[in-house]
Amino acid sequence: MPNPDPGLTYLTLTATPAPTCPVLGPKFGAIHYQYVSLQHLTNTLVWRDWATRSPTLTPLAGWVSIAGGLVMSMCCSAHLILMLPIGVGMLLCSPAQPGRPCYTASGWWVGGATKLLAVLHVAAGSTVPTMRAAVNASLLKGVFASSEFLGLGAAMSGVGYLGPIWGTAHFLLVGLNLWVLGSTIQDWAVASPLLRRSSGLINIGSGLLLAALAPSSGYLASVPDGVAMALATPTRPAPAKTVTTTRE
Amino acid sequence: MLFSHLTSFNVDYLCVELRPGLLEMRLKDFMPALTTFTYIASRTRPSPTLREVVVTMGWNAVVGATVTGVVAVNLYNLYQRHRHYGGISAQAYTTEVLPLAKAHVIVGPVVMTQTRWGLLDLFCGGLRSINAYHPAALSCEPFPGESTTIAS
Repeated sequence: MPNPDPGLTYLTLTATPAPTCPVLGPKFGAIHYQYVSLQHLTNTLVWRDWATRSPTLTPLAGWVSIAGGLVMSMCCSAHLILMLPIGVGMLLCSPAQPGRPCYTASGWWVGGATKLLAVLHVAAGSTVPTMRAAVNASLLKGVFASSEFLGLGAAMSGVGYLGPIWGTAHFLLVGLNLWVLGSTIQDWAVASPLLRRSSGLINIGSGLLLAALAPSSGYLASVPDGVAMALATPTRPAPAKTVTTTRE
Repeated sequence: MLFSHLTSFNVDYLCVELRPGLLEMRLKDFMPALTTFTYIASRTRPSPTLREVVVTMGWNAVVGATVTGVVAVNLYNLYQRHRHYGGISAQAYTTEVLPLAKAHVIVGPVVMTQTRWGLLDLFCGGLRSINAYHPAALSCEPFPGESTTIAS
């Protein structure tokens, strides 16, 4: 390539042929990995708020959502526009009053907005050809026959490459976790006696799916989480102390 | 270079940033090239040696067995709680797993070099480091070891 500017010195590093096809590289996977980490934290906090029948959501959950939106906005500014209102909503929302319909609670609407975002996230991702190709490759050829050395061990040894399958798996996991978060917020808002069954099943399914896509990763640990969600019971209120007085 | 592990990414986008004319060239060149993932992989990823394969699979076996064991123990504990108490106290369970959720945020970048450097590159370079004029531009990260041009 001719150097158009004599002030710049160009050095060409040649190892393999120049890139001709777009791929999802480590930055894409890394940013989604971190966002999944933040989602674990948020989901657990909201889950505990449901269990304790807290009158408000833990502020940390809202702030973590806002921080997650800021982090993800480095990928795409739409994340900030979408996650900022949800984070603020989590900070301000309230549960339904007893006897009132669910849609009168701001928390129920915040949960609904989160679930809508989950659908939009997965739908937008499915339009990226490389993601579709990564899923197809892993399904058709198997994970080890695909291009990446998947698994935590591969990443730790440095031989593996966090490529499109790793990134796509985390991208889809973000969408599933957003759906679970929205459901849990809604359950908290209406003080449901049990979490809805879909939350536990999605957690179990996503754990198994990620374990298949990235063997020897820690994602199998989502299975006990899902089981616990499916069987979780809220904290029973302490029985009121009955004062017995004896009249003489 | 600032981040030696990601030489190819950094310098490639630095070059684009210095000479905006290249941006159109890159996108124009990329668009017709949206072909199958298998083709991308076979073309750009070097084949690992036998030793690398053995080491990696060994790592995977150790980590996989450990994770599976921990999960099995967790499931058994949950079964015991459900059987004896008629349910799983969500408050107690979330109190147990909350530290793990917090640790997960830190463990990834600490354990995985590529995650660490990828995040650092993003934080330091911001939008320009990923050439994010369009969300789809994220898909333009090349595999390491590809031909790149450095402007210095």
